[in-house]
Amino acid sequence: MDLPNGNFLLPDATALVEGAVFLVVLVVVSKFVLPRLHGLAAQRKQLIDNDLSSASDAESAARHHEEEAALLIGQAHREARAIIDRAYERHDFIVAEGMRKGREEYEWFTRKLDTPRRRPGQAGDVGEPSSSRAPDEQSDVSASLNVG
Amino acid sequence: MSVQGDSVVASAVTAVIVICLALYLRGNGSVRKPSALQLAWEVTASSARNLADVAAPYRDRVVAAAVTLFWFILAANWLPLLPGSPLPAPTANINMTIALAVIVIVMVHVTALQARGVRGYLRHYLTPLWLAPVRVLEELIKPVTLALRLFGVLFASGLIFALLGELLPPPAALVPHAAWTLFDLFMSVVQAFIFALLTVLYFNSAVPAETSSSSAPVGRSNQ
Repeated sequence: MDLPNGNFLLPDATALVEGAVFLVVLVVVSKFVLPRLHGLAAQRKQLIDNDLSSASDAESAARHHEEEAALLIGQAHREARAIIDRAYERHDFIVAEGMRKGREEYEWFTRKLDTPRRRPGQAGDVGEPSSSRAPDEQSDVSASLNVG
Repeated sequence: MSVQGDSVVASAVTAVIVICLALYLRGNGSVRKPSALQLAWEVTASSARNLADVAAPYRDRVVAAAVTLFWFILAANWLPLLPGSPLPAPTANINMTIALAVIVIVMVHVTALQARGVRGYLRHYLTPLWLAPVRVLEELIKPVTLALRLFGVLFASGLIFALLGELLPPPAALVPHAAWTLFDLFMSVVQAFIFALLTVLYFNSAVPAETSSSSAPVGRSNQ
């Protein structure tokens, strides 16, 4: 590093030249660059604000859709529950009806076995009593089940 | 009066570098994908804009001065650190720092005159009257301290590089030279920042506080 001749703490005409050089830079930066940079920053801010606004809208829409989906799922659960309950009721009815029919058949058979056979032509033989018919002939269980 | 050619050439090269960078940013600035350089300039500008809260009506002027000073001083400080650079740091010359300080102080006083008016400007220095000499002395000292602080640091840095080269043989000087270069890189940023920060503070002190609160800013709105 070369020290300048004389007192290097005293400014000379170099200061004027260097001041002019700096002023040129100042003018260029302030007139041509900073407005452009400011514009870019403002556009980016606008862009970010718009994106944030869009994100907020999308978030509220997503929340709305979630609520709607939860509502639909709840409704579907309730419908499924009702269908299952109806199926259980029908199941219980079919089982009860089957048991009743089986019991009637059982009773019919046991009654038929206990009753002594009469010869045809005997007095009082007016044919088979209606109560002694097979249960299938008495009623149509499937009709009473109302299946389908 | 003589002109120091190497310092003038160095400051001219610095100016060319800063102008080229600035014009590159002007041409290639992007909204979506800003480069690191663009972001650095924008951060400098927005920091100066935020700092110039009192001088809000003159914010554009303050921001322009602070941003230009920061990047110009930084480029000047880093100029001799460029590989193979034969140029000295222009800021290690008192002429450059004095010129910068005088320009800043002139701008500050012009702004103070605009903000306060001639009577308000004079009243600011004369009330109370017994403090007038101190206030005038303060205003005279401001550019001197501004200039000498930057000059002293950069001059001392150059001296240390020269001493390392003179006192140590080249292989032994390599590590201290590299360490001092790293420190100098950091110190250059700090000095540029201090100069720009003090500039903004001087502008703020030049404008009465009620001006910024009572009148709408003439400049652009906040970024």
